[in-house]
Amino acid sequence: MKTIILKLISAAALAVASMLLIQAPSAIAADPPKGKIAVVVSTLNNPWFVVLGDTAKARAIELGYDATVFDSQNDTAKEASHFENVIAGGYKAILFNPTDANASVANVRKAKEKGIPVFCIDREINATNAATSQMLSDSYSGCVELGKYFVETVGEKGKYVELLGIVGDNNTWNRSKGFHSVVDRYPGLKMVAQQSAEFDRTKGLEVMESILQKNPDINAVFCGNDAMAMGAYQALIASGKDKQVKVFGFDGADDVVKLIAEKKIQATGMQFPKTMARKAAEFADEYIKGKRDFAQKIPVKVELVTPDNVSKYGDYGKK
Amino acid sequence: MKRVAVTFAALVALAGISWFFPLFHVVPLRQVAEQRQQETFNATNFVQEFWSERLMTSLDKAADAATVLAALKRDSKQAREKFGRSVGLSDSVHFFLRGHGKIVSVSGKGVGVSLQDSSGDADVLLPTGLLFGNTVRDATGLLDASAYPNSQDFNDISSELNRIIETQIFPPLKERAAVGKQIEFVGCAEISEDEGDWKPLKIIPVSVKIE
Repeated sequence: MKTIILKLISAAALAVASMLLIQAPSAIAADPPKGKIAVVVSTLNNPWFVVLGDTAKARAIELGYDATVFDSQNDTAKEASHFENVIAGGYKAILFNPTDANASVANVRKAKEKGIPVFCIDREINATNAATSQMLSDSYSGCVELGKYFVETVGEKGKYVELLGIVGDNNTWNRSKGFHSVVDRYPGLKMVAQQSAEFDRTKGLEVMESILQKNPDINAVFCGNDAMAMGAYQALIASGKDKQVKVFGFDGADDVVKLIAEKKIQATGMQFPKTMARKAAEFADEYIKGKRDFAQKIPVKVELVTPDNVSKYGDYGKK
Repeated sequence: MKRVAVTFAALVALAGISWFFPLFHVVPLRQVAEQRQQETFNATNFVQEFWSERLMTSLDKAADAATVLAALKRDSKQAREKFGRSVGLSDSVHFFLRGHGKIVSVSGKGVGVSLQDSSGDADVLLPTGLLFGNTVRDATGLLDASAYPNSQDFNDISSELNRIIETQIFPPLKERAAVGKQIEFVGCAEISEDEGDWKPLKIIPVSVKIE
């Protein structure tokens, strides 16, 4: 009798365990993805854009999508190829960091024609009827503040150099114009050289080295992004002029923020790539769920980071 | 002979077709340059028209400065939401304000005005120095970034607005302002979230009347 009872109990336990095992996989299994979102980034050769792309991807995944990052390598032709693949690949939305404000318009229009919404991040395209929405750093205002700080720290007299970004990117000119709208009002401040280093650290180093040979007695350098600022700073260290020349960047990259804290670089403009990237992914999700009324252009404020307030900033944002 | 005539007739026909439906046009370079200039956004012309046709006709839409300042002192967050305007993702808030009071100070920084008509501290400061940034463009709500394909054009509007104020508003203000005089103004202000002590409130004037 005892044996029979034990056998019955064992059988019951086995049955319950089996039922749990059968149910467990479906309880553990995640809901299937809601579709695919593409993140097309201008370049992954710059840590700032890596953060932008990775954050957009991560947020899209959090929202339940599969997400893939495509690197355009600063090449409009590669960007076009990515768009062809994304359109053919059944992606539901594109989070897009353009390579060129004019040339990238055609790619966005192709996606729109196929019913795929495009959300521009950080950089704009020169059209208001192609992308669904464009979330853009207010580079002009950010560089107005940077320009004021430049005059405050360099003084109203001196010689400086400007390293420009990619000439086809509106951010290059918005930053330059914002900076010059202030600095050019001080006739004692003379720009002795202005050259593009294409937002690239290595080119920033090379261009700065070349400029220093012709202009050894400069007081400051304004760089249109932090990658070029790092390159310029390296060139100044190599020439022994890092204490003589004040360096100003723009982006809010971690390496520059750290050097600002050490008072080796004067200032940068924090652009909040994580905020923009997350918002773009959320917009895509809202669109897929049916929302259609998005503002075409959404400026995102840039905040000046200096040695006085640097403790508030880090990790590509505010602490 | 017949072949020559047919060929000749075909050439004449082709010439005729090309005359009425030319394959290409020869356009003088100067004409191309003029056409491009017309298509390019002209911030100076745009702002001149905007200033007289839209901004100057919207001055009555500005909120009362004394009311807004009192609200900011009571509950800054609520006042910003009720009277202010934010552009995009930003912790800055813009205000379009009008007010009147007594001039209590005149310096290189600007003209200080007491809205209580007293001779005490200035409640607002009308700056008279170099003007930078987008405050005037963004405070009124009359202009929208989404309407401009190229944000450089939108930013050029700011430069032109600032230039008009520096050349048309500041000089008579500096010339006529004196402590004790009554003043009416309409202008634009901007406060950021971490700007703790903004008193006196800096209001960039777009219209000023001094007794």
